[in-house]
Amino acid sequence: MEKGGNLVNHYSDEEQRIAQIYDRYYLDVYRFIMCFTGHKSEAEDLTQETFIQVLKSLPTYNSSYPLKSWVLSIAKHVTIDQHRRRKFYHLFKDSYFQQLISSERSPSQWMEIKTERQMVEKALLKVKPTYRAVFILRAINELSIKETAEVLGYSESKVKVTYLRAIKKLQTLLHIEWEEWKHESTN
Amino acid sequence: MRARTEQEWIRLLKDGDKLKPDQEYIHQTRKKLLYEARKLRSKREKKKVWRMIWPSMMAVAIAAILVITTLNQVNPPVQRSASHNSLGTASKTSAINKETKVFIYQTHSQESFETKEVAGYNSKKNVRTVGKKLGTYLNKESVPAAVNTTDYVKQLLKKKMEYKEIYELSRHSVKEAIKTYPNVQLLLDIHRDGEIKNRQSTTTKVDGKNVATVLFIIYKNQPYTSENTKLAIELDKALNEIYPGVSRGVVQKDKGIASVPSYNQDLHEGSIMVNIGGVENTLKEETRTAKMLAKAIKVVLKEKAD
Repeated sequence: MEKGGNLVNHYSDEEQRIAQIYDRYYLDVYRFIMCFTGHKSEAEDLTQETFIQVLKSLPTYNSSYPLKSWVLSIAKHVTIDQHRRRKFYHLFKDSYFQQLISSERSPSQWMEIKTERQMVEKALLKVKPTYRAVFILRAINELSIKETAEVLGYSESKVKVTYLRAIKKLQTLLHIEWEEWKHESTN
Repeated sequence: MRARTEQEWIRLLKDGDKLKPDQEYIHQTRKKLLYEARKLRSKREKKKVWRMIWPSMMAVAIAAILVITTLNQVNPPVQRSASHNSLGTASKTSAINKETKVFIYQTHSQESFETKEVAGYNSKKNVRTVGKKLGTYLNKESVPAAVNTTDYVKQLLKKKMEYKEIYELSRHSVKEAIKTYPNVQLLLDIHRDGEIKNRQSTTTKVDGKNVATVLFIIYKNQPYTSENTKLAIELDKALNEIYPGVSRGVVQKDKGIASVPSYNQDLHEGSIMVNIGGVENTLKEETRTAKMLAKAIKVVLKEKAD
């Protein structure tokens, strides 16, 4: 945040507006993208890209629409678009993970999945993008059902259904990992 | 250790350090945004200056033309009255141009590409960009073309009309065009597919490069439906003959939701709606297709002339 009101007044309306929006929402946007991609550098790039898009789209922003939902919908667009572009890369990477997790592991490999937290983070990366987006918006960004629906352009009932399915899928994935972990650690 | 509940693992995720961006990054990004905002503003101001200079330049040009024409017309008095007549009918619109064979407009003027944009609409990078390119390529192929780049969405917002009423606005332009270009043979309303997750069908490869695919749309039960369909089929064939796979074909539709059910295809023979690519294509892919479409149009119109 800038210190003092005087300094801010040197900026144009547009600069003030984007700074304001950024200060209010950078954390929400960053969290969403970080959870969605699981990569820090990617999250940094895409967060910046999101706010540049916000800046460019400001003239067309309809002020009757909630600002937070609007900003996050742009974040979602930017992230999913990027996701589509990097699909090939991800395909390769995901299958690498799968191999790592499902095949027999040596104790040293187990060390790679160090904490439960990492286990959850990895499970999240494995569910499909629509589930992941709904889950992050509801659980991590703590958006209401109505806000989530606005961001994704879904109906509220679709948000509810998708969220439940995402949770179920995540629980299944975690359960499998948990069982394997237990099995492995008792051996 | 025991299996965790849903609330517990959500908490685990949230408490991780990973969800907090670095202070340095937060600061740098803020600076970058302010810089971008300044850049945008100076661009806009430059444009404003141009907008102010333009009218005066135009005024000078018009004055010069007027002086030259009056000087020329002082000598032969017979011709003078004749030219006055033709000026009289066209004065409200632009001058009549008998050369122009193709008229291009974009009813949904802000339909854009590359899903990054909010909801696929953009006031600058949109179907009008594609229309302009198509016009340029056609003129290069020596097919005289005129492009109307009116932003109907902007007009619509100003007049507080509903989106489905937008065809009433473009209809006015088409009517004017028919008067201005009496020999027009093809009137193209350029759109793009709005469906998402459809990139596969709106994209194909030509010479190893991604290009947008084209779909011709004709509305049923209109005065010129059969003529329009025939022309669309010729375009479809020509396009696929030169660049296989670029045209997705011709579809006939019943009236949709627009308040002008004809989609302006009832006004003149040769009226076709065309979807060039979709919301997930890039502008580059669109431009490549515009170039190919121009070639196909040339072939078809030449066959008609022969």
